[in-house]
Amino acid sequence: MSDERLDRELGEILRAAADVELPARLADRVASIPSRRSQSAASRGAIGGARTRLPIGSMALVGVVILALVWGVPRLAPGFAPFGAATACGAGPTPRPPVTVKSGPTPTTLPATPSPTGPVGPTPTQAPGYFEPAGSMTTSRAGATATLLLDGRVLIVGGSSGAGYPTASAELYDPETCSFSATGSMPAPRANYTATPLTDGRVLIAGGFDGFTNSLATDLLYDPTTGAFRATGSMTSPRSNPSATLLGDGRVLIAGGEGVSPNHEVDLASAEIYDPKTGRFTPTGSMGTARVGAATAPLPGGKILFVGGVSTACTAAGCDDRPASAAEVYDPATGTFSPTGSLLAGWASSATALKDGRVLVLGAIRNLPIPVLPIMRPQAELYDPKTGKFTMTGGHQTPVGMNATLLPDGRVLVLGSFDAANGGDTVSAAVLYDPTTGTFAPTGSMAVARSGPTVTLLRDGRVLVAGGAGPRGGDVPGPPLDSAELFVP
Amino acid sequence: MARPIQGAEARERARAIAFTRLTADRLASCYRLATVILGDPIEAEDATHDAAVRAWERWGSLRDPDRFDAWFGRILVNECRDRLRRRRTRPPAAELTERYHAGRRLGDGTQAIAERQALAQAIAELEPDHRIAIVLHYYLELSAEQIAERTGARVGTVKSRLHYGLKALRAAQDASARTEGGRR
Repeated sequence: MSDERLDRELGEILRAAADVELPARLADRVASIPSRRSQSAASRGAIGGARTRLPIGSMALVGVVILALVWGVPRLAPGFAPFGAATACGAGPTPRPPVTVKSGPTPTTLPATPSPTGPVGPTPTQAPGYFEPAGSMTTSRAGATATLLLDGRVLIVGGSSGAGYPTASAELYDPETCSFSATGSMPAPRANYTATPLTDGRVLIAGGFDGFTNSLATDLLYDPTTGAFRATGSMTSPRSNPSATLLGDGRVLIAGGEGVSPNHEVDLASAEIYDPKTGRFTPTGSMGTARVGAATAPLPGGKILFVGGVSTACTAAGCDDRPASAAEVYDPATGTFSPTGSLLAGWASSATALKDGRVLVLGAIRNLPIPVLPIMRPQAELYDPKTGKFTMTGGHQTPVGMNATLLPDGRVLVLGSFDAANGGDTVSAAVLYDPTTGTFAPTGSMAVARSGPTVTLLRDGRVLVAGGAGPRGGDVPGPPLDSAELFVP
Repeated sequence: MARPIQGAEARERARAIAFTRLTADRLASCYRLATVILGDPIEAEDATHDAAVRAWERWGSLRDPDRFDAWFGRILVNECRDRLRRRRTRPPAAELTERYHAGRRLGDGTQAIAERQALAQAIAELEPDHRIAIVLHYYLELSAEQIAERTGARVGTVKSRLHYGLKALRAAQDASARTEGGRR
């Protein structure tokens, strides 16, 4: 056989062997891989040297769903608000059925964790406050950032858009006209970045990831006067999901997050400082614990509390994401982090500085009445900077809150709860924390159930709640929403 | 100062969507390649699935979306190579040969059919690395350099595999021709 004929015969044989139809079941099996693997990754770690990170939001959700199976949280859903997009701005409270507040049942299968400081008692009465429609954003967004500008408008940037991909677009909400309008876009989509208002009115967009796999070191500045984003200096390390905090001197502390090594992600303990005057980043002291997605809160005297987040522990068997319970305090004067007390809870989702200097930390604790079951339940703690210790608060009314906002009167609005009794879906309920009593009380409900919206305190004391993900479909996050609402205390 | 923890979930969701979209677009061609390498559509289905699982687990190592084809192709080829090595005692030559004749019956004589059958058999009996090199070159029409990138081998090694693979195929072909000629 000649070489030419051999080449031809080889090609024909191999092409004939390739004459197969793609089995539909194979397509289905492959399409379900992300959801199947994410569910198992938390306990197994990664395979083959790389690792799959269980999303922090999923960690929270898993805990909440398990919580529901054991406790149920009807107290978190005081009545059902009618679904439907908001249609007007400032139209008064959204009509809804009379609120029925159910008392949270004392668990019978799980003992209540004693509360050394927070009162535990009957369900508080309904707190004043209601939601009213605030129109619709120009783009549906979940996981976006919202930043109050000096002129009172709100800059809303990025997030996942309708298709689920990060978007580069941004828009402005004007409380005076009750309307959203597009503004300049980022040069490219990014997610899991931070947006920090600078003292000169600009907004620093730091880190994040490019929507595919890459953590970013590049940073942007949004200028409200021009409505444009422009590049500024780059961080010393790429960071996705870092923590960014405005310091008292106008600089910005950026710490932790996911970095990159040649073949896999790596949690960062390092931190750096952005100086708006020079547009440059310079390294500062490192945290004692590498953290991704830590919550921060300013403390009296200019120090910053770092709490929670996820830290990855790796062994020969793989890597597991674990909540970082040890808290740290950053001192801008010395540029160093120092250990302080540890969370009583397993993980924290938010840290809110109260007017009296303490910090309200919302999270969950892993309760182990049955050692083999990872049962988690919501927990609220107060950090006292004077003692450096965490103590429980909130009692049985503690919500599973993902967003906490300090109101002008000193109370804290908590949104983003999950209806664990309904398959872990989002709910429209909101609660208010009163530091003077140490209790949570239900308040008005949103018209639309949403998870992970942007929550921004406006200058007039109202709170803008925009976007977020709608009700979940099983393990699939709900679609990004474009509707917005205003909470009127 | 709380940050939107929902972003972590958004990130995971974006990854899942990117993975699903990229694999869905290439799944049929990848499945065909696995079928050609393995000569067994059933095993190719498992190999493609397992390669996709590995790809998801290593998703963070894909730094450039434009490199997905080569990146995933390498994972798939490695998966197929592992399977070929594990089943060294079970070459499904009959499957490959059968598929060839089912797809193209030209009726061009007993000797030609016998020679093709022998060639298909010889492909199935090649060393795994030689077989993969032959398939990538004659089915996907990749160059030695492209095969080297796809398999992680050096270009010289790929050329060597192609040389010895072709040599084995030619030997099998010549043996078949002699046998058929002798029968006449």
